[in-house]
Amino acid sequence: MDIFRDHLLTWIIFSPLLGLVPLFLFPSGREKQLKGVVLALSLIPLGFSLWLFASFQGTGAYEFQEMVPWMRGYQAAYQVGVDGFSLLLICLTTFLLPLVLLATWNDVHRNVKGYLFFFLLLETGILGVFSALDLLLFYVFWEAALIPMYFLIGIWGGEERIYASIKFVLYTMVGSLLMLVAILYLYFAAGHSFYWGDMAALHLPRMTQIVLFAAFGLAFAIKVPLFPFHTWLPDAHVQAPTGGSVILAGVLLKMGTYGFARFAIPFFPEAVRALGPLLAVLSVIGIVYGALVSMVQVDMKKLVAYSSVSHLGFVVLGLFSLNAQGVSGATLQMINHGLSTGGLFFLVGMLYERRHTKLIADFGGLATSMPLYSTCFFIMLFSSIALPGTNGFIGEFLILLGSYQTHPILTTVATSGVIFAAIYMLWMAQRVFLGKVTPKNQNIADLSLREGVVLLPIIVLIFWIGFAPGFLLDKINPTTEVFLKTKTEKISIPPSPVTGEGRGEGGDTN
Amino acid sequence: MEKLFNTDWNLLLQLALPMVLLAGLGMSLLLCSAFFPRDRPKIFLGVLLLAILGILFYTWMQWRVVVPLSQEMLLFDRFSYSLDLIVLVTLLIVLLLCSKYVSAEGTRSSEVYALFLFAVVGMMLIHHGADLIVIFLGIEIMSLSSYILTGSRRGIIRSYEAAMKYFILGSFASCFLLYGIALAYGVTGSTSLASLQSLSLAADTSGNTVLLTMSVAFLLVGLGFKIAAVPFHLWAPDVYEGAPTPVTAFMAAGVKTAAFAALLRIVLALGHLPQIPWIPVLWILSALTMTIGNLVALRQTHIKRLLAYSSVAHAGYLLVGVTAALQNNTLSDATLGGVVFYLFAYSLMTLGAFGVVVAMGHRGEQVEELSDFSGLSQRHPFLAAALTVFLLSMAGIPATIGFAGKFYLFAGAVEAGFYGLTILAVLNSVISVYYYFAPIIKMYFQPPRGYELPPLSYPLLAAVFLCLFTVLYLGIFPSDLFLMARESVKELIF
Repeated sequence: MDIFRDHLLTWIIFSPLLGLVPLFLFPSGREKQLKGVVLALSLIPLGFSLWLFASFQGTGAYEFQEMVPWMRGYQAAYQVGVDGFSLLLICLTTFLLPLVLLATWNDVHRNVKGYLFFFLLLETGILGVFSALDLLLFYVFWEAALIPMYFLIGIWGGEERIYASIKFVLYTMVGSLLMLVAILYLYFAAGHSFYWGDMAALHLPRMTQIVLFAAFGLAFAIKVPLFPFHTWLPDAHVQAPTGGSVILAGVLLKMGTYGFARFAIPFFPEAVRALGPLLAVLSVIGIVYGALVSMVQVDMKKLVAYSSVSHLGFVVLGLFSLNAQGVSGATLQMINHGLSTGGLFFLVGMLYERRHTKLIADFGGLATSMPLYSTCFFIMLFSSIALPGTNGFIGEFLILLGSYQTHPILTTVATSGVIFAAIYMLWMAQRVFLGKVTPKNQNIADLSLREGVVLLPIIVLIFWIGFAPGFLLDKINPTTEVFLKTKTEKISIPPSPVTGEGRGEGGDTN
Repeated sequence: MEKLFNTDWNLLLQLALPMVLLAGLGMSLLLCSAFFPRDRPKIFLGVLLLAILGILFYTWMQWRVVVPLSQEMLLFDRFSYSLDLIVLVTLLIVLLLCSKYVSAEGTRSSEVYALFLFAVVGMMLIHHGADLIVIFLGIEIMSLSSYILTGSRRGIIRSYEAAMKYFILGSFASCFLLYGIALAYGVTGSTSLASLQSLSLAADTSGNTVLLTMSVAFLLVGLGFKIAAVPFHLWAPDVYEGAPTPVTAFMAAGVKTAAFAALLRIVLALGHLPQIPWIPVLWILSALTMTIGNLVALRQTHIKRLLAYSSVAHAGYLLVGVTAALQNNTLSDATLGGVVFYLFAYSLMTLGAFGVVVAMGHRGEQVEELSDFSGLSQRHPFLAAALTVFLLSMAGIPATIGFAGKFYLFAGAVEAGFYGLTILAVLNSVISVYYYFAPIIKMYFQPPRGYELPPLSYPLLAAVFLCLFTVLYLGIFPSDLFLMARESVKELIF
């Protein structure tokens, strides 16, 4: 077992690739069995990450660190580790992936092998992003996660998929390549080191910090997406296949907020002081704008997509409140949003499979014909609009509590987003589920067992976090403390056990 | 001239054996075709491949043990041998690529192979040239072979047109080069690189400064033409389009590498002179080359023209590295190593991409429109996947050699403090994503067209697979190759 325990993180990151083996072995024409095998294999990363969750100490420092030199000549290493922020996102990723594979059981008929191939690559890319402590490694995974998503949208997407997929790639690339330049600058500033700790320990002049923060911030803001960089998101979401939407909303967008929490804020405290209010304003604009635009949508998927803009605005607002409640709430809300929005996309996808339409106007009175489905939908919806008793409430409440201390006026405006969310969601639900059953919706089949299995774990977690969030917050809070201390005092980071004083010295520098 | 008589001929033969062997092979091929009327492409190919593998191994051994040595006309250091390795790999892959084309086009294989070999000898002369005249000779040998190869598509008017264009414009560029060399001779009284390198202009010799600046300007024009830098790039799309595809691959990879070698030697030899505004000139040249190459490529619907403009853009990225390497006169090994690394990376991905284009051709009819690639992923998943990887690599997406190469170049530019140029370069990379993804969109997102896919030959598949494997492997583990490239530029001599 030691081989697993000592390299647990590496196993998590690369075990999704085990699923590639059956893709090459299975003859074409046996798609059902292939899906079954890949689904079973996708439980392996989940198992590993549950193990990780259970044995995570919660000291606030990076745990499960591993370091192997990688690009000699330039001091880049394969260096990974987890803390409270990344732990939960890793678990969320490995949790959602088997569900995605199960949910799209009947959805994908064309080129099943390719579909599974890109999903597994995507999972490895995302897991790598959340565990990398070496900035170059982070960048490699960050970009590597982009390409599978591009193909998922482009091959299995809707009518406008080509436009949506290339827009998605170009938006992301603009941000990330500028970030690469900033990373290179930091590398030389930190004395030839890509290690997170060496960069976080830097004291840079204020103007430099602002420029670098802008480069990092642009990449992350596009990914989140923050207003006004959000226009790629509705296109991508509407065109993406159900599984793609779930992963996109559930974890891919979190790469942006995670990037702020892990890199942009700890690296550039001066810049955060200068530009933090601006980002808070943008996030509040995003909250209100996303909510207002959601209200007028006629397409259910687009509605959920715009609601993501609104919800992730809350996360960014919480991060830039820079106090314990706000940051912990933001981290928790990343998970919550992954569950509730992921769940909503699953549900919309199931409806689309049955009726081949996502337009709100085509539905009506589904509560009568699909009682089980409607119940599940309402639970996800309540979580999404942060009803007490669901996970969404805990997250948004903590965020608002935190941000009120730093930005009282902005928080007041942001609160309206909560009300708007209730309006657009309930109004949509009213039109789709309540009222008289229209003839076309009379004979829709209710949830199948398979679909129930997909939704049940999400619903359990929604209530579990809603009533007893402690099991997650206990993991988050120590990291939040370290995060806030680092930010305010710029103290030296606890040296990594593997490398001692960082990797700047020694080795084969030029 | 006395020194020539002191030459240790045994040592010289030992050091220059690759060149001698290649030239000998080429001539024997021509003799074979004269005495044996029947063409035997398969046997020739087999013998050549074995011979080139042997030469490749020998060159690598030389790279490992060489003690830098210059004997006025030729020089031997790790830099020149590393470039030799790049062009030999290029030659190997190109020979594999053209096996099918040779049998289809009705050209005698021995002639084509011999011309490739002579071109490579010319390239090696450029790498090893210690004298401007030798470099010029190398460029001419290389270029003349390329002119003929360009026109070797029998009966195809476009191929003749391309050859003519290439020949006329290329000769014009050679004149510039020669004039530049003459002016340099006027300043130093010698054409050797060593004399240029030891040159220091006193403040009062303003006449010499003018002469030397003009000489450098002429040299840059001539070499700028060979590397297809903007504004001397206009020949590239037409020639790339008209030439047989394997020849295009050879020009894009090998000719560009050799021309860059010449540029690097000359720039590095004269880089210490403060009178010449190196940095602004190279800065503008690289900015123009990247930007215009990428912008024009956006509008292309012909795969070979698209790759031609992309090769112009890549010359721009390489020039970013050259500019950065020249900064503050203490040559950065890492940056210059990055340039060598990128030359290899660029050659591999270009050869791979053209290899797929060759594979798409059918019974002499070439398939070159982007729309012909529609739905390739369903008809031939391997070719589609390979071309996708090569295009992603050119776009600089991680886990490919193209990313590693760009990383080394841009890191060097950031280290030298060229932030503006680096930002321009990364924005160019974003632009390039748009057109590199156009064939991918066709192959994966659009339904197949009624184009019958040709049967694939094994040498062709082997070449594409070789490129694919190297692009991915060195993309994930680039450090060994990079350390080798950095080692190559540590002890440069002139």
